[in-house]
Amino acid sequence: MPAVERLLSRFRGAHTQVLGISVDSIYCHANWAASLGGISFPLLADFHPKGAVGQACGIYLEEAGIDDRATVILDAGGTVRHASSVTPAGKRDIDELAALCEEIDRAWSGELPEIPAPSGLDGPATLYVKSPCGFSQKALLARTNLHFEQAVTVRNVSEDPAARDELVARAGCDQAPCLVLGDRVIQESDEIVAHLASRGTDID
Amino acid sequence: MDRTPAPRAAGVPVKEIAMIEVGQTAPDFELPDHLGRTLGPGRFRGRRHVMLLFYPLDFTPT
Repeated sequence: MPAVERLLSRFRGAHTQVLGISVDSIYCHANWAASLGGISFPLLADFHPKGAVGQACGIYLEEAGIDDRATVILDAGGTVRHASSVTPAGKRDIDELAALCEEIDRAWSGELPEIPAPSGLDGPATLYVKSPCGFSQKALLARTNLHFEQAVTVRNVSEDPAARDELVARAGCDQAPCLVLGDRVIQESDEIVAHLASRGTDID
Repeated sequence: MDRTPAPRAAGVPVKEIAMIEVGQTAPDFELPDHLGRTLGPGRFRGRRHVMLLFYPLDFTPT
Protein backbone atom coordinates (compact mmCIF):
# COMPACT_ATOMS: atom_id res chain seq x y z
CA MET A 1 0.00 0.00 0.00
CA PRO A 2 2.80 2.52 0.66
CA ALA A 3 4.02 1.83 -2.91
CA VAL A 4 0.57 2.84 -4.17
CA GLU A 5 0.52 5.91 -1.94
CA ARG A 6 3.83 7.03 -3.43
CA LEU A 7 2.40 6.77 -6.95
CA LEU A 8 -0.94 8.50 -6.25
CA SER A 9 -0.10 11.53 -8.38
CA ARG A 10 0.59 9.18 -11.29
CA PHE A 11 -2.77 7.45 -10.86
CA ARG A 12 -4.37 10.89 -10.58
CA GLY A 13 -2.76 11.83 -13.89
CA ALA A 14 -4.34 8.72 -15.41
CA HIS A 15 -7.80 9.81 -14.13
CA THR A 16 -7.80 6.78 -11.85
CA GLN A 17 -9.21 6.48 -8.35
CA VAL A 18 -7.51 3.81 -6.25
CA LEU A 19 -9.61 1.93 -3.68
CA GLY A 20 -8.11 -0.67 -1.31
CA ILE A 21 -10.46 -3.37 0.03
CA SER A 22 -10.14 -6.11 2.64
CA VAL A 23 -12.42 -7.78 5.20
CA ASP A 24 -10.92 -5.77 8.07
CA SER A 25 -12.91 -3.09 9.87
CA ILE A 26 -12.38 0.63 9.29
CA TYR A 27 -10.75 0.88 12.74
CA CYS A 28 -8.23 -1.78 11.86
CA HIS A 29 -7.65 -0.08 8.48
CA ALA A 30 -7.00 3.31 10.11
CA ASN A 31 -4.46 1.90 12.56
CA TRP A 32 -2.69 -0.21 9.97
CA ALA A 33 -2.59 2.65 7.47
CA ALA A 34 -1.04 4.96 10.06
CA SER A 35 1.50 2.27 10.98
CA LEU A 36 2.61 2.30 7.35
CA GLY A 37 3.31 6.02 7.49
CA GLY A 38 -0.11 7.15 6.27
CA ILE A 39 -2.46 5.95 3.54
CA SER A 40 -4.72 8.68 2.14
CA PHE A 41 -6.60 6.80 -0.57
CA PRO A 42 -9.75 5.00 0.66
CA LEU A 43 -9.32 1.64 2.39
CA LEU A 44 -12.77 0.09 2.22
CA ALA A 45 -14.06 -2.39 4.81
CA ASP A 46 -15.62 -5.48 3.19
CA PHE A 47 -16.47 -6.31 6.79
CA HIS A 48 -20.21 -6.71 7.21
CA PRO A 49 -21.57 -8.84 5.71
CA LYS A 50 -18.05 -10.23 5.56
CA GLY A 51 -16.53 -10.43 2.09
CA ALA A 52 -19.77 -9.54 0.28
CA VAL A 53 -18.03 -7.36 -2.30
CA GLY A 54 -15.24 -9.91 -2.72
CA GLN A 55 -17.88 -12.55 -3.37
CA ALA A 56 -19.66 -10.33 -5.90
CA CYS A 57 -16.35 -9.99 -7.76
CA GLY A 58 -15.53 -13.71 -7.44
CA ILE A 59 -12.35 -13.14 -5.46
CA TYR A 60 -13.48 -14.11 -1.94
CA LEU A 61 -11.59 -17.14 -0.64
CA GLU A 62 -14.28 -18.98 1.29
CA GLU A 63 -12.08 -21.40 3.25
CA ALA A 64 -9.61 -18.77 4.39
CA GLY A 65 -12.33 -16.17 5.01
CA ILE A 66 -10.43 -13.43 3.19
CA ASP A 67 -10.43 -11.54 -0.08
CA ASP A 68 -7.74 -12.68 -2.52
CA ARG A 69 -4.91 -10.32 -3.47
CA ALA A 70 -6.67 -9.38 -6.67
CA THR A 71 -6.77 -6.29 -8.83
CA VAL A 72 -9.80 -5.14 -10.81
CA ILE A 73 -9.61 -2.03 -12.98
CA LEU A 74 -12.86 -0.47 -14.20
CA ASP A 75 -12.98 2.23 -16.82
CA ALA A 76 -14.99 5.38 -16.19
CA GLY A 77 -18.01 3.68 -17.72
CA GLY A 78 -17.91 0.88 -15.14
CA THR A 79 -16.67 -1.84 -17.50
CA VAL A 80 -13.95 -4.18 -16.24
CA ARG A 81 -10.73 -3.59 -18.23
CA HIS A 82 -8.37 -5.69 -16.13
CA ALA A 83 -8.79 -8.47 -13.59
CA SER A 84 -5.94 -10.44 -12.05
CA SER A 85 -4.81 -12.22 -8.93
CA VAL A 86 -1.31 -12.70 -7.54
CA THR A 87 -2.65 -15.05 -4.81
CA PRO A 88 -2.67 -13.97 -1.14
CA ALA A 89 1.07 -14.56 -0.74
CA GLY A 90 1.98 -12.83 -3.98
CA LYS A 91 3.18 -9.31 -4.62
CA ARG A 92 1.65 -6.82 -7.03
CA ASP A 93 3.84 -4.77 -9.31
CA ILE A 94 2.47 -1.28 -8.71
CA ASP A 95 4.54 0.31 -11.50
CA GLU A 96 3.03 -2.10 -13.99
CA LEU A 97 -0.45 -1.42 -12.67
CA ALA A 98 0.14 2.32 -13.03
CA ALA A 99 1.25 1.77 -16.63
CA LEU A 100 -1.87 -0.32 -17.21
CA CYS A 101 -4.10 2.45 -15.85
CA GLU A 102 -2.36 4.93 -18.16
CA GLU A 103 -3.02 2.59 -21.08
CA ILE A 104 -6.69 2.24 -20.15
CA ASP A 105 -6.89 6.02 -19.82
CA ARG A 106 -5.38 6.54 -23.28
CA ALA A 107 -7.86 4.07 -24.75
CA TRP A 108 -10.82 5.84 -23.14
CA SER A 109 -12.69 7.75 -25.83
CA GLY A 110 -14.47 10.36 -23.71
CA GLU A 111 -13.20 13.43 -21.90
CA LEU A 112 -12.60 13.09 -18.17
CA PRO A 113 -12.18 15.99 -15.74
CA GLU A 114 -8.72 16.40 -14.26
CA ILE A 115 -8.41 15.05 -10.73
CA PRO A 116 -7.27 17.98 -8.61
CA ALA A 117 -4.41 17.57 -6.15
CA PRO A 118 -5.50 17.77 -2.49
CA SER A 119 -5.98 21.41 -1.51
CA GLY A 120 -4.33 21.17 1.90
CA LEU A 121 -5.36 23.14 5.00
CA ASP A 122 -5.92 26.91 4.86
CA GLY A 123 -3.23 27.55 7.44
CA PRO A 124 -1.49 26.08 10.44
CA ALA A 125 -3.81 24.18 12.78
CA THR A 126 -3.70 22.75 16.27
CA LEU A 127 -5.27 19.47 17.30
CA TYR A 128 -5.99 19.31 21.03
CA VAL A 129 -6.30 15.75 22.29
CA LYS A 130 -6.63 13.96 25.58
CA SER A 131 -5.48 10.52 26.64
CA PRO A 132 -6.65 7.86 26.84
CA CYS A 133 -9.41 8.77 24.41
CA GLY A 134 -10.64 6.80 21.40
CA PHE A 135 -12.06 9.91 19.77
CA SER A 136 -8.72 11.70 20.07
CA GLN A 137 -7.02 8.62 18.66
CA LYS A 138 -9.34 8.69 15.65
CA ALA A 139 -8.41 12.31 14.92
CA LEU A 140 -4.70 11.55 15.38
CA LEU A 141 -4.85 8.60 12.97
CA ALA A 142 -6.54 10.78 10.33
CA ARG A 143 -3.80 13.40 10.79
CA THR A 144 -1.18 10.73 10.07
CA ASN A 145 -3.05 9.08 7.21
CA LEU A 146 -3.59 12.41 5.46
CA HIS A 147 0.03 13.48 5.97
CA PHE A 148 -0.80 16.51 8.11
CA GLU A 149 1.93 15.92 10.72
CA GLN A 150 3.64 19.19 9.75
CA ALA A 151 0.48 21.25 9.19
CA VAL A 152 -1.32 20.16 12.37
CA THR A 153 0.40 20.60 15.73
CA VAL A 154 -0.75 18.24 18.48
CA ARG A 155 -1.22 19.33 22.10
CA ASN A 156 -2.32 16.93 24.82
CA VAL A 157 -4.64 18.65 27.30
CA SER A 158 -4.64 15.82 29.83
CA GLU A 159 -0.86 15.87 30.15
CA ASP A 160 -0.14 19.56 29.72
CA PRO A 161 -2.07 22.15 31.81
CA ALA A 162 -0.81 24.99 29.58
CA ALA A 163 -2.31 23.21 26.56
CA ARG A 164 -5.63 22.88 28.39
CA ASP A 165 -5.63 26.61 29.26
CA GLU A 166 -4.83 27.44 25.65
CA LEU A 167 -7.71 25.24 24.42
CA VAL A 168 -10.20 26.86 26.83
CA ALA A 169 -9.06 30.30 25.70
CA ARG A 170 -9.45 29.42 22.01
CA ALA A 171 -12.52 27.15 22.05
CA GLY A 172 -14.41 28.32 25.14
CA CYS A 173 -14.28 24.91 26.82
CA ASP A 174 -11.85 22.02 27.30
CA GLN A 175 -13.65 19.45 25.13
CA ALA A 176 -11.13 17.34 23.22
CA PRO A 177 -10.42 16.31 20.56
CA CYS A 178 -10.70 19.78 19.14
CA LEU A 179 -9.18 21.11 15.93
CA VAL A 180 -8.53 24.83 15.84
CA LEU A 181 -7.74 26.48 12.52
CA GLY A 182 -7.40 30.24 12.96
CA ASP A 183 -10.81 31.33 14.25
CA ARG A 184 -12.49 28.07 13.32
CA VAL A 185 -13.15 25.46 16.03
CA ILE A 186 -14.13 21.88 15.14
CA GLN A 187 -15.05 19.73 18.13
CA GLU A 188 -16.46 16.35 17.13
CA SER A 189 -13.98 13.68 16.03
CA ASP A 190 -16.08 12.72 12.97
CA GLU A 191 -16.18 16.35 11.88
CA ILE A 192 -12.46 16.76 12.47
CA VAL A 193 -11.74 13.68 10.35
CA ALA A 194 -14.17 14.85 7.66
CA HIS A 195 -12.50 18.26 7.46
CA LEU A 196 -9.00 16.78 7.29
CA ALA A 197 -10.14 14.23 4.66
CA SER A 198 -11.73 16.93 2.50
CA ARG A 199 -8.43 18.83 2.45
CA GLY A 200 -6.03 15.92 2.35
CA THR A 201 -7.53 13.82 -0.46
CA ASP A 202 -8.69 14.45 -4.00
CA ILE A 203 -12.23 13.13 -3.46
CA ASP A 204 -14.94 15.79 -3.57
CA MET B 1 -12.39 -12.90 -23.43
CA ASP B 2 -8.69 -12.10 -23.16
CA ARG B 3 -7.34 -12.15 -19.66
CA THR B 4 -4.40 -9.84 -19.08
CA PRO B 5 -1.63 -11.60 -17.15
CA ALA B 6 -1.32 -10.28 -13.63
CA PRO B 7 1.55 -7.87 -13.00
CA ARG B 8 3.51 -9.70 -10.34
CA ALA B 9 6.87 -10.21 -8.76
CA ALA B 10 9.09 -12.75 -10.48
CA GLY B 11 8.35 -16.38 -9.67
CA VAL B 12 4.89 -15.80 -8.24
CA PRO B 13 2.31 -17.95 -10.00
CA VAL B 14 -1.01 -16.51 -11.10
CA LYS B 15 -3.88 -18.47 -9.66
CA GLU B 16 -6.87 -18.95 -11.90
CA ILE B 17 -10.15 -18.40 -10.10
CA ALA B 18 -13.62 -17.63 -11.34
CA MET B 19 -13.23 -13.94 -10.84
CA ILE B 20 -14.92 -11.10 -12.60
CA GLU B 21 -13.83 -10.85 -16.22
CA VAL B 22 -12.71 -8.19 -18.63
CA GLY B 23 -15.68 -6.77 -20.50
CA GLN B 24 -18.17 -7.37 -17.69
CA THR B 25 -19.92 -4.54 -15.91
CA ALA B 26 -18.63 -4.25 -12.36
CA PRO B 27 -21.10 -4.75 -9.53
CA ASP B 28 -21.82 -1.47 -7.83
CA PHE B 29 -21.33 -1.23 -4.11
CA GLU B 30 -20.59 1.21 -1.34
CA LEU B 31 -18.48 0.49 1.73
CA PRO B 32 -17.20 2.56 4.66
CA ASP B 33 -13.55 3.67 4.49
CA HIS B 34 -10.89 4.42 7.10
CA LEU B 35 -11.47 8.17 6.81
CA GLY B 36 -15.15 8.15 7.71
CA ARG B 37 -16.57 8.16 4.20
CA THR B 38 -18.88 5.75 2.40
CA LEU B 39 -17.60 5.09 -1.09
CA GLY B 40 -17.81 2.83 -4.08
CA PRO B 41 -16.94 2.81 -7.78
CA GLY B 42 -20.34 4.30 -8.72
CA ARG B 43 -19.36 7.57 -7.11
CA PHE B 44 -16.70 8.04 -9.79
CA ARG B 45 -18.73 6.82 -12.78
CA GLY B 46 -18.23 9.02 -15.82
CA ARG B 47 -15.43 10.94 -14.10
CA ARG B 48 -12.66 8.53 -13.13
CA HIS B 49 -11.47 5.03 -13.83
CA VAL B 50 -11.30 2.94 -10.66
CA MET B 51 -8.62 0.47 -9.57
CA LEU B 52 -9.83 -1.94 -6.88
CA LEU B 53 -6.97 -3.40 -4.86
CA PHE B 54 -8.33 -6.36 -2.94
CA TYR B 55 -5.97 -7.76 -0.30
CA PRO B 56 -6.18 -10.45 2.40
CA LEU B 57 -5.66 -8.69 5.71
CA ASP B 58 -4.30 -5.58 7.39
CA PHE B 59 -1.07 -5.97 9.40
CA THR B 60 0.20 -8.82 7.24
CA PRO B 61 3.24 -8.81 4.94
CA THR B 62 3.38 -8.13 1.17
